[in-house]
Amino acid sequence: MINNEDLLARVEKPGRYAGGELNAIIKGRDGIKVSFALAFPDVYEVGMSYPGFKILYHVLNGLPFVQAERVYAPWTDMEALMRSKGRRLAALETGRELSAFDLVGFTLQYELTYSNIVNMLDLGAVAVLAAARGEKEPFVVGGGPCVFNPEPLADFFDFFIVGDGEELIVETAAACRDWKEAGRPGGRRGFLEVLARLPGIYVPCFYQAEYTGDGRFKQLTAQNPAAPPYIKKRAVKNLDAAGYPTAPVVPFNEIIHDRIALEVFRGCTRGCRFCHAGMVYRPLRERSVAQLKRLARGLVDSTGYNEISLISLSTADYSCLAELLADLSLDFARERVSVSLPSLRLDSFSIEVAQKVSGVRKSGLTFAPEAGTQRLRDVINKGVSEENVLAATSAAFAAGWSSLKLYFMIGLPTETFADLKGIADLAFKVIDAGRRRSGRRDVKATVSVSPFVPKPWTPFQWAEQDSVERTKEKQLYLKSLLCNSRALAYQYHDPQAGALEGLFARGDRRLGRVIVSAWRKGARFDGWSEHFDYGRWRDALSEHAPAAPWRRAFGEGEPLPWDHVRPGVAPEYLLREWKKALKGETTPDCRQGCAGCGVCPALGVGKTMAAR
Amino acid sequence: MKLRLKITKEGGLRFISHLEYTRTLERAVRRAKLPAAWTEGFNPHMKLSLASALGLGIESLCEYAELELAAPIDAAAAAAALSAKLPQGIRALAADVVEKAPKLAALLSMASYAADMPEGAPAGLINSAAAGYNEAAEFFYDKKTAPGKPARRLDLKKHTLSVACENLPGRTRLCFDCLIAASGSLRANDLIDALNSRFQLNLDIFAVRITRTGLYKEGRKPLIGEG
Ligand code: SF4
Repeated sequence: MINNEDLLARVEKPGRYAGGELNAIIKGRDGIKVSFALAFPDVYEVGMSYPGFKILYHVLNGLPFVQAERVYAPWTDMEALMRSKGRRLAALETGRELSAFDLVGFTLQYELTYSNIVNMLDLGAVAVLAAARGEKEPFVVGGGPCVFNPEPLADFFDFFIVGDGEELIVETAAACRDWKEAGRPGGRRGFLEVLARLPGIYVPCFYQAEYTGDGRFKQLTAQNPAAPPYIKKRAVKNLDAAGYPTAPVVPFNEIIHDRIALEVFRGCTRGCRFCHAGMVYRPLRERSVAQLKRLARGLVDSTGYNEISLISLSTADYSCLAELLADLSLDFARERVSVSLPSLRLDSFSIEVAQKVSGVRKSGLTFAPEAGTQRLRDVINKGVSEENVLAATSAAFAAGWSSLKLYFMIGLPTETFADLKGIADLAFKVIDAGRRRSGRRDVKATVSVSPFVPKPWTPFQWAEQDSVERTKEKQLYLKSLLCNSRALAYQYHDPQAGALEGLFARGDRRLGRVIVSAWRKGARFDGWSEHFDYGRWRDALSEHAPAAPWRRAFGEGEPLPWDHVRPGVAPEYLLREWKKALKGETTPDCRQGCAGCGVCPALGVGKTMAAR
Repeated sequence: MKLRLKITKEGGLRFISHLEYTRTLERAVRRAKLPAAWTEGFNPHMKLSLASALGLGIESLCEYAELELAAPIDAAAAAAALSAKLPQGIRALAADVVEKAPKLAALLSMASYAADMPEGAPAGLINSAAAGYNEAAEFFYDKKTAPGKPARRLDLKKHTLSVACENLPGRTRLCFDCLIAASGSLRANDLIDALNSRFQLNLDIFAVRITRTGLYKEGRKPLIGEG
C-alpha cells in the first residue's frame, strides 16, 4: 500500500513517500509481537543514505517476532498537505501510523534535526513530551552519536540506547515482547524499569537535574533504584561476528549516497581533539578482508549497485587496504562495479589509491588540513604537516584532478589571526605547488571553512565557542585574503547554524522547552539553510532559557551535563589531552601503540586490526 | 545484438523519474547477471536505453527497453532471469533478441493513453467535451513552459485526432492516441489540461490517473514481434 497516495502527485519528489522499494521487508501480522519504527529526522534521501539504520533494520527484522519499518521526515510541502487534510505520519512498510507502534526509534546524527523529531512525533499523533504519553502510546527511543549528550532531548524520549545498537536493540525488542506478554506489569514505568537495568540504556525520567543559583548545571541524580549513576556505552566486540546486512533496501529515487556502503571498520585511532566521532566510536574494530569480500559479493548480487563505497571514519587507515582493493577490483572488474573511498587522508599513498579506485571521477577529492598553521594543527592533534598537504595535493593535480577541496575550521581553541592567514597561505601554496608539479595553469581549489563547534566527550569539550559576530569577522577576513585569486573559491557556513549546533551539543535539560517553543514558531529542517531561521531560536531561547550555557567555556572542575552518559574514554584522558593541546603537544595515533584513552579497559573491548 | 524488452511501470513507480526508472532497470539487469555490453572508457555505462521517456505520475503497460548484449542469449531465458529480479512495479511482458536494428526511439510513431477521471467527475460534461474536441478542426492550447517564459501555442489536433470516452461503472475514461513526430510529441497531461480548461470540467487534474497503453511504429505496429 502507498501512504497518502492521493497527495503524491502534488508534491516534490513523490518517490520519497511511495515505499515498495526492492528488499523492503513486509511481514504478515502473524507472529509479530513488537512493532518498531526506525525514524530518521530528515528527508528520505538523507535518511536512506545512513548506514546505521540499514544495520538495525535487518537486525530487527531478523527477529521473527518484530516488524521494523522506516519513516522519514516529510518535506515541508508534504507536511503542509498532510496537516491540511488531517493525515498522520505513517511508516513506509505497512502504513502503520507512528502512534500505533510499540517503539519509535530516532537516530540522533546531528543537532539541527531536533526540531524535526518533535515535528514527526506530532505528525504521527504521539505526545511530544514523554511525561504526557499514555499507556497505549509508543515508547520513544533515541540512539546514535548525539546520545553522548542526550540532555536537551530528555523531555521527548522515554529512553536512549547508548553506543553500538545491534545487540542492545535486540535485547530491547525482546524485553518489550516479554513485558507485553506478561500483561504489561507496572505499566509504562514498569517497562522503563526493566530497560534501565539493561547495560547501555538511559531512562532520563529516572534522573533529576539540579542547577545552581546563578543558572549553571549542578548535578543529575538517579531517583529510581533501577537507574545506574553512569550509563556506559555498548560496543560490539567483533564486527566480523556481528554481521552486516547484505540485502539493504534499494531506493527507486536517487538518494545522497546512492551506492553500496560497506563498513570496513568502526572507531578511529587518530585522536584529533575536536572530533566527536573519533572519541565516541572508539576503539578501532576492523573487519577481515575475507569477510569484507563476502559481504561485497552479497551486496552486489542483492542490490545491483555499480559502486561499493568503503566507509569508516578514515578508510585509508585500514590495515589491509591495498590487499582489499586489489581483491575487490579483481572480483568485480567484469561486472563493472567500482570501488570508492568517501574520504582521503593527506599522503601520496592516498593519491595512488584514489587513482586506482576512482580513476573515473576527477572530482570530489577533499583534503582536510583543518587548520592553517603547524602550531594550530599540533593543538588539534591533526598529524599532518605542510609538506604532507603539498605533496598530496600536487600529486592529485599531477594525476589529473583539476580541482579539489580544502577543508578548514575556524574558531579552534588558541586560534589567532595569524592562523587564519595561514589558511590562505596554505591554499596559495597548494595552487603554486600544483601548477609546478602538474605543469598546468588551470588548477583550482575550493577553500571550505566551517566554524568549530565544541562537542561533548572530546578534549575540546571545555573550550569557548566563537560568537556569531566573531565568526563573521573571521570569515570576512579570510574572504579578503582569498578573493583576489581566480584559482581559489571560498565557501563558508552559516555561523548561526553553528551556534545552535553548539548550544545543543553542550546544553542541558532546560533546552527541551526551547525546542518545543521554536518548533511551535515554525522551526523544521534547521540543517537546511533555506529553512533555518535563527530568529525563532533566539526568541525561544530568551523566553525559556535565558541562562543556557551559550558557547561559554566550561571550567575544568565544573559539572558537565553529559557526564553520566559514558563513551568509555576516560574523563582524565580528555583533560590531559586538553592541557597538551593548550601547550601544542601532540599525541600519536593509537595504531602505533596505546595512547591510554581508557576505552579498551573500560569496555572490555580490544582494538582489533585485520590480519595481514 | 540487442535484447528488446517490453516492460511496465506501475503503481508507486509512476512517481519516479525517467532517469531513476532507467537506473532501477539497470540494477535489475545486473542482479539478473545478463551479459550486458558496456561503453569503453573510465566511466563505463551499461548500454541500456528506453524508447521514450514517460512523464512523472504516468503509469505504463508498454515501456520498451533495449539492452546491447556482449554475448548471445535466448530471449525467453533472459526475460525469465530478469523477471525474477525485477522490483515491484515492473513486469517483463515480452522479449526479443534483434540483430542490427535502428534505435527504438527513432522508430516510434504513436503512443496511446487511457486517462481515468477522478471518481465523481461529471460524466456528462466529459462526454460532451470529448465530442466537442472531436468535432473541432483545430484545438489550440497554450502550453506553459518555464516559469516567467511565454506559453507555447500548440494545435492539439495535429497530434491527437480524436478522444474516445468510455463510461465505466463509477468512472469515466478518456482514451486517445498521440502521434510522435521528429518535431516533438504531445504530453498526455497537456490534452487533459486543455479539455479541462476549455470545457470547464473542474477536474482535480492531480487526481486523473493516466496510463500509457501502447507504443507503436509505422502507424500502429508493435515494437516487439515483427522484426
Ligand atoms: S585504550 Fe589505547 S588502544 Fe584502546 S582505543 Fe584507547 S588509546 Fe587506543
